[in-house]
Amino acid sequence: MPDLGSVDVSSRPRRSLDTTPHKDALKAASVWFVRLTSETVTNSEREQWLAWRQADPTHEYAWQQIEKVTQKFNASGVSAELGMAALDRPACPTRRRAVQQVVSIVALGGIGWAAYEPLIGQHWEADFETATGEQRRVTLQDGTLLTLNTRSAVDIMFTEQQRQILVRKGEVLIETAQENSRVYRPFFVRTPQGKIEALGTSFSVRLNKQVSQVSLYEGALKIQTSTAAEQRLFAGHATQFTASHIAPAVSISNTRPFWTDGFFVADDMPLIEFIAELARYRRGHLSVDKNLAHLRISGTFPIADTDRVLETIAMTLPVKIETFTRYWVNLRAL
Amino acid sequence: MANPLSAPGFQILYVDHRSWLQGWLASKLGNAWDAADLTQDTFMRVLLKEDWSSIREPRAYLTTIAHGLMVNSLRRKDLERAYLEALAHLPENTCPSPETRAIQLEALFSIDEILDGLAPKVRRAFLLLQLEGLRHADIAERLEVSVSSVRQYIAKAIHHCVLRQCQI
Repeated sequence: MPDLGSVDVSSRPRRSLDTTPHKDALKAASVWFVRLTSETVTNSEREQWLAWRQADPTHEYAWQQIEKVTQKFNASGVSAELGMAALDRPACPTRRRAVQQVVSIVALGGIGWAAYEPLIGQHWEADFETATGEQRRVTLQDGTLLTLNTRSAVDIMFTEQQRQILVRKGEVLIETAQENSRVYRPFFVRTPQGKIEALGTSFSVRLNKQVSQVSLYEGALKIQTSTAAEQRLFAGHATQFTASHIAPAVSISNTRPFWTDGFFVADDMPLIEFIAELARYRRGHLSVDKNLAHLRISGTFPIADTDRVLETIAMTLPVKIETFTRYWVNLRAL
Repeated sequence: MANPLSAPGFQILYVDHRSWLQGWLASKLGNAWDAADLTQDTFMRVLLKEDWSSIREPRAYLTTIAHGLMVNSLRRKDLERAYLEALAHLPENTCPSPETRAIQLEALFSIDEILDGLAPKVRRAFLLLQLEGLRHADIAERLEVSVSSVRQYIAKAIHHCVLRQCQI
């Protein structure tokens, strides 16, 4: 788990990607990428890799750049077959000729890295992102613990006056820490629909289409949106809100989200909703025919093994699983 | 800033070099329509730069920008053609909707951009890993090289992609 909190960023010089530590970190990250994608990778190597990421913010930052690249592939939704055909194509003759004839022209000016400044002065900023099927725990500067679920992204902006987390996509569990050593800074979580103020809490936030969903496990929080009246939420309750409406709170029985334990729970859930949920943890295309809309499902399902979940569905419901490629799966009526 | 279109510097640049640039592009592309489009795009790009008035070698400058735009547009066309050809070979019921196709093409193009400049074998090794999820040993077999070469290719590819991504 990368613990950026142990590093005193304010005393460090400003950094950009073209400085030596960043260049070295990128090289090292590339080597780690090779190790981790190898069929012979060991658990102890994985631990070493995590330790390397924690050891220095430049390492963590370099690794995030790697993840941005792999994310492009994961998020494309293209089957392996189509992707290979489009990307592994031979260069067409016109293009080769056109490119060759102008290679002698000198490019003007250098390309700057100025936009990539992860650490700025008094402020503390960082972005975290997870790939499909990945979960990640991060300790922030103030001791707050974040757990990102699959396909999620958050931006962190801490200033002298406030602590702020911007949820850009997906789902995150936030366990706030008390800062005893300094003047209290309020803690806000922003979503496209509104702002949540945490009052010493453990809660999860999920962006689901145009709605923000909040489940509160400990403490209390306040929800503000641009047009709805401010509303408080208390431990053991969940709600959801849009920019104009905050739904009434409903009670929940779990004390932390199931996904942090590697499960998701369906209670008489429509199959279509269930498949949409499962698709969050799975690379590629997963769909279900509309004429299966009447089917419902209950149970506890492991999110790390979506193939097995699909097999289970095929055994218990009247559905057939069609697989065109590893990443292109559809459920249809038997 | 005053309206740059009426600024004498830009007008002179445009009047003096537009038809020359269009001719240059047409000779590269063998196509007058695309050349006219790219000429306009090039001057648009110049116009949006703040330091256009200090250009000393206008033709070298214009061809540099035009070249970048041309390579991009050719790359996009190549990719589209390869994608559509592959779609034509898919069974009808697996064909993505027009909307999905447009989204996939955008995604593929953004991947293509960061892959640009990689040696063919390096590129293929990386694609086999990322798209087909092949093991290093299987990639080695497919490319008829050693596993250690495959690992060098992958390291080179990911490093290149990260750097390209930061530039774009």
